[in-house]
Amino acid sequence: MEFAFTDEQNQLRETVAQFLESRCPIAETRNQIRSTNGHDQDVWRSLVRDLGLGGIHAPVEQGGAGLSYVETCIVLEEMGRALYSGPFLSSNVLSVNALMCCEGANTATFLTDVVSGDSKATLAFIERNAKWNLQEFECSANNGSLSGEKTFVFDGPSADLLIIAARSNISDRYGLYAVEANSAGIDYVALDSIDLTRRLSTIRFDSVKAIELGAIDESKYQAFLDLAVVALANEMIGGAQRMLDSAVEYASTRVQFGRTIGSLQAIKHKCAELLLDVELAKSACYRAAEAMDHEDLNRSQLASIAKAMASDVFVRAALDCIQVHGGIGFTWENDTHLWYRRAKSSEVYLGDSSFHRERYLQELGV
Amino acid sequence: MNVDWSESKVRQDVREWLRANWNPNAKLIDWRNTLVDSGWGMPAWPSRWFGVDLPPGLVPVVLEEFNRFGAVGVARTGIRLLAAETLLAHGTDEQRERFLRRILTGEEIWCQLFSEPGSGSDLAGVTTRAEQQGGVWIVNGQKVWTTSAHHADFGLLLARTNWDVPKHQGMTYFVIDMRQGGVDVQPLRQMNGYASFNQVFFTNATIPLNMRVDDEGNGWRVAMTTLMYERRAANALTGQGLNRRSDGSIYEEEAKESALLTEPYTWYPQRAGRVDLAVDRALATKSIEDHATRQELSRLLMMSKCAEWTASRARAAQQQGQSQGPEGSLGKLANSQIAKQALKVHTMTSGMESMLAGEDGPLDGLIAEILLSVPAISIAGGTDEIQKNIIAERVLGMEKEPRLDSGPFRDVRRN
Ligand SMILES: Cc1cc2nc3c(=O)[nH]c(=O)nc-3n(C[C@H](O)[C@H](O)[C@H](O)COP(=O)(O)OP(=O)(O)OC[C@H]3O[C@@H](n4cnc5c(N)ncnc54)[C@H](O)[C@@H]3O)c2cc1C
Repeated sequence: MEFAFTDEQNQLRETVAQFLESRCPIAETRNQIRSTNGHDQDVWRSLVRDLGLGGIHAPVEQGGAGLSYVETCIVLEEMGRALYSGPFLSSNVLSVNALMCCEGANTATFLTDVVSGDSKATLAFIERNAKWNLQEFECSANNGSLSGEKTFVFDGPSADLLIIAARSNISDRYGLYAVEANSAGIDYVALDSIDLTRRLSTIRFDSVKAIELGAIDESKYQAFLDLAVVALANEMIGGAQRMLDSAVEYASTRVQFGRTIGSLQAIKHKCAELLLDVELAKSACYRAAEAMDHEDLNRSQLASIAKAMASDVFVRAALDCIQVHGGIGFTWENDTHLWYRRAKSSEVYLGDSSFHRERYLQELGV
Repeated sequence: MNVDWSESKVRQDVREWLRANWNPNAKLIDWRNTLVDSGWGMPAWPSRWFGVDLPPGLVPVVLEEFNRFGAVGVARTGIRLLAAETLLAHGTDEQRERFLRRILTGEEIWCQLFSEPGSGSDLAGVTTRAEQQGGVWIVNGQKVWTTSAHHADFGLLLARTNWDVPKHQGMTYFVIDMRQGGVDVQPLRQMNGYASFNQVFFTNATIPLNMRVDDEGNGWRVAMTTLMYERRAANALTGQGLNRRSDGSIYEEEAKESALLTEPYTWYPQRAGRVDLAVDRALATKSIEDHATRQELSRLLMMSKCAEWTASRARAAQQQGQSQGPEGSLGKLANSQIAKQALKVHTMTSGMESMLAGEDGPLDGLIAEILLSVPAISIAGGTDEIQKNIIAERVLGMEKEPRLDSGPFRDVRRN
């Protein structure tokens, strides 16, 4: 009837929050920005192996925790709050989702490997021209040989398994394919990204040996996109909440005119309005997360509401947070811009708020 | 009484009781009295006072069952439930005995005498004075924006009883009989043409000593209770829509009653923006094909959904034992923003037609009424600015503004 997290879910949130606070505080994330892979392999391994988060909603038979998407989204929200830079979203959520929607003979093994952390996967589906429209993909697989170009791939170079959505050799059919990252014919081009804590790359495939994981049609693909959008939206509201907290904290300590700036209404009201919008967006994200586990006809509607709300509020929260900090907010040393960068990047990935407002109406049938 | 309530037990108990007692041909007043005695009219209230101590989270189950039967509930219009909750929290048993039942049966109408010409947001600045003289309280002064005062039997009055202490400490809360010579009610016309609020003048009006609510000087605390319920109920002032299931004379009687009781509130749905009309209007006017309109419409629908879910999260948190206090301000602020967004959407969908009112206007003037009623939502019951202060200070814990109104009220600067 009413939406509330269970005690177990609250405990999971607490555990993950504490882990991230001790293992990847923002100073450590700043170090990772300059590292080769952008994240600490040990921290990620610890998340997967020690905390058992490798496949939260993956089936127990494949080593997953067999929980719901709500738990996955709780973890993502905390990661968004902490600005975690590791490949959890790309490997343990998006790749797991892709593998879970395939029935091919090999998928179970791949899934087991990803969930256990033996393999780090990422998903390559977006193309420069087609964006994320399945029907316009040019990358194609012919008799186990994959050619084409994918871009906006998360954490590409550090992955050892690539999962690619491409045309199959039968016309008008599409499939998911697995490629070992060290296969011959793969060329990575790192992209200079606005978000310093999420690595983006373009990957070129020239007749690369690929294993077919299973066929996908438009409806399966849309379901996959909805899962991805909801995952991202939940990560985003974690970031938005962090920006609000940071703004309130600074406003409560910084003194001007003999009083904290938080006692000035221009600042106070900005924070109150932000709290309202963060709460509204959270409600959307939690609803959507819950719906992902149910064959609910409104899944796409809920996903679009979540992404539209989260996109707008995260960007605004980060902008307001910079504003509340004044000059220091515009410095490289202040951490706020790191979240702002994540906000701007996530805002447009898989559709900005205008896109999802339009999609929502279409899903409503008006 | 300590009952272990579960959803199924509630459902079963309510059903059994309705099966045995609901009669669509009963007289409204008789039915409501039966209902009040049973405790199912206000189930979350204490069993000592017309309730059954039901956990608030299970109240919707009771309402569902009433709806299934098409059974008429207790009266809910206007501020009657704010009055009741305030008396439950702070009143004497004698006051509860005297008023609660007749609030629920709809026999008596209430109004809220808080705002004054000189003090609105700054409610603690009231200057209507009450003085104890010869075994009664004598009241002199003026209230304003008092909704329903022209129908009311009783008023919740906040008055100053001590001018020599700081402003918040010098007020006392009373129940005042509105039907007396010393009370003069004059309707005020609103910008939307209706006259649902009034100014109220007190000239040596009297209040018996036993009609003081809580202690002398405690008025502010009591008023806060009323306001907390008001923010929470911001959307429920018009009473519930009844799912009429069968024929019966009680329905005609109820319709007649609610026409009278809801007269001051007929435009309240319009002030909330009528989100329910937005999609149909966009389709009917073909503005649904306009990209900019689609964006604003979609934004409106999303905001409205999210506000619903946020309210449901707040209720769930309450059920888990977290108190719901200043969070009511979030909901009130959300409703304000939704209404303003609806205003924008109705204007976009109606285009030039939104220049027209009355029979010339779209939907026989309903759109014009929306456009002219929405501005009230961010003022009535505490302005948006005040809600934001409350959210920032009490939810986010930000520092209060420095005050310039401390010291004896007598010396404080005022209008
Ligand atoms: C339709 C309607 C019905 C009403 N019904 C009732 C009723 O039944 N009973 C009753 O008692 N009252 C009623 N009211 C009155 C209502 O509660 C007051 O109008 C409201 O609290 C604002 O007070 P005010 O009108 O004196 O405006 P003011 O307090 O003078 O405010 C004017 C402006 O200043 C701003 N402001 C004031 N103080 C602050 C501050 N500290 N920080 C920032 N901004 C500030 C306000 O937000 C507003 O924008 C009703 C009002 C309306 C519109």
